[in-house]
Amino acid sequence: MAKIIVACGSGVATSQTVASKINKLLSEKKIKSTVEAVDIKSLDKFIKGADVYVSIVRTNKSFQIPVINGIAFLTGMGQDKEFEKLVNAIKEADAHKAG
Amino acid sequence: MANEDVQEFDVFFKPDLVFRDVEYPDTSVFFRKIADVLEEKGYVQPTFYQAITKREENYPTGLQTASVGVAIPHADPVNLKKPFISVIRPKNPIEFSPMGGSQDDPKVKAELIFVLGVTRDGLQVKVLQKLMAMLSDESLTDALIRAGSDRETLKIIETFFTGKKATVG
Repeated sequence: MAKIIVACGSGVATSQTVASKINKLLSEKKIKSTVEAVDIKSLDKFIKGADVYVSIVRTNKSFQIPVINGIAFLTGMGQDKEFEKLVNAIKEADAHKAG
Repeated sequence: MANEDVQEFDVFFKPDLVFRDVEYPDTSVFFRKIADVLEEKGYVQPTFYQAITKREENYPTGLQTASVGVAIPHADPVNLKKPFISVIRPKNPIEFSPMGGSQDDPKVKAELIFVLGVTRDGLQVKVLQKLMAMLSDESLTDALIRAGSDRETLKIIETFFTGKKATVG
């Protein structure tokens, strides 16, 4: 099962809201995954076990895993496209784990 | 379900925290003034001004929705005394940096600002989801921008949050 992490400045408001939206969209599609909201300061710790990173804040780092634009899930602008990217990344991660 | 929605509205939105037609030249003046009011009314700690300024600098909160530029500035819960959401419709838009962007990115001209005094109690997710849904609806953001009184502003929000029929006279 793919693990998705969402990070914002505090892990309280924005990231939790985006995580909840993604959870809802994924369960509507019957895609199983775990979605976790974390604060940006603990991103390094949590990203190790994650398959997809949903980004709400800017970082200068590069990541080994796919990065999805989380703001789309907040405003609804471009949400379909980002969600499609997310679903593809989850499928890829699941296939990789099965193989 | 309906009761919970009513509760959310009552917990966060306050008649004395709606500000319309006030002129703020930039975010630093805006934060100074709003922090003073919130502290005076007992909603935030004296640390709030520093916290929200720093937070906005590091993690900006301007958002361009389909219909309008908005901003949802907030600070860590430790700087709060009790939950609130302050609704501000400035006389002229205030420029915020975009969420996920940097100071160099094109600014979001925020016509509506919601200062979020939310804590980690679980309600924050529901209220923010609902707020974003409201801000993606052009008829509602238009109505909020045009509202002629604080009461009308709150009524629009209450109607959306609780599903109650509007009785704006």
